[in-house]
Amino acid sequence: MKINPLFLQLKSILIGIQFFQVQCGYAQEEKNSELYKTIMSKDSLLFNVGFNTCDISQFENLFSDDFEFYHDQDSISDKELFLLNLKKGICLPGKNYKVRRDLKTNSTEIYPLTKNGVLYGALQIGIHQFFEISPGQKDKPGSIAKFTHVWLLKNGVWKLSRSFSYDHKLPDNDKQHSIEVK
Amino acid sequence: MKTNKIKTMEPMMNILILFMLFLSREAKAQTNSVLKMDVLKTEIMKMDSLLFDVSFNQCDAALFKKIIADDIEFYDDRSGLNTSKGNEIKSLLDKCGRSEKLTRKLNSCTIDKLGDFGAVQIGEHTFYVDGKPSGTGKFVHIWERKDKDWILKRIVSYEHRAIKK
Repeated sequence: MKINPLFLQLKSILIGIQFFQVQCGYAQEEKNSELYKTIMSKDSLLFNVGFNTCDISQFENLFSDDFEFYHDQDSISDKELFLLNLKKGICLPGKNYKVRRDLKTNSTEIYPLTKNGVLYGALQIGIHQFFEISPGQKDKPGSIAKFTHVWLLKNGVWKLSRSFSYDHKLPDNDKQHSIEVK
Repeated sequence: MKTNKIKTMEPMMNILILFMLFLSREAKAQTNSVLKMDVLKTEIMKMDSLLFDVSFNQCDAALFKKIIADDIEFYDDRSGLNTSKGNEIKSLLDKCGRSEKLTRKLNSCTIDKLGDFGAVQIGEHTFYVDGKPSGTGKFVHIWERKDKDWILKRIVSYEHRAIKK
């Protein structure tokens, strides 16, 4: 069989590229990358729309059915329990104050999750702060927390699958609750 | 005059005593939480060591089987999501069957409690091939407290980088 030398050359280039990719692994996404923007738009839907305006449908749409939420102070809940707590808690109609979540500027890190080079999910790590809002009053700063979100691409749709929320502390308390081991 | 002074001092003393009582309670509460965090740190670090220093580095598959949850979820940035405990054990055995020796060393991590459920450990580690550093990676481990044992329930392994030789 005659093999086109050009084909061989191409093959070696392709292998080279592949090798280079494997060597590099997957670093943090740049802020202007497609994935970064996609995840940030989902984050915005979830919090700026869903959480901050108590639009529960955003959570229903964006959470995967087998969603798991792990919280350092409230332990663990599934999608049903999470939504119930939201409806009975900060989104209870007639409540005299609202809660707003702000994402800390430049705290977000996004990493791609791939299988054999194909994107299947993303890891989002960040810091956010919660504020208590009462009409006619200055917003009251609440707890600051770290969070880690596992987003999965399911049939072309991004779903928040796992959420870990931890290291909650009050803004005037600089004491680091996380234990650092160096 | 003297009795008057004592009279005004009385409520002040009460406040002071209350305040001191409050302070000591605060201090005690803080010591308790520091102590609890200290225990948590010791226990998670012990689990990290059992998982990697013993089961991964020295190929103790029986111990590995004991530590990881039956419903394990392993999210890897290069090889996808694995939700099979059997596959996890198989890949450890595969790794241990190779002639080159792959080992892992923890560089740094943070440990936080997750309610009464368990703990989250986030860190960075280096992998070695035959004792030579080959790459680094970051990880998120969700540990579940089950009776007196710690079970590794969720793993996210990301930002793998090769170390230039």
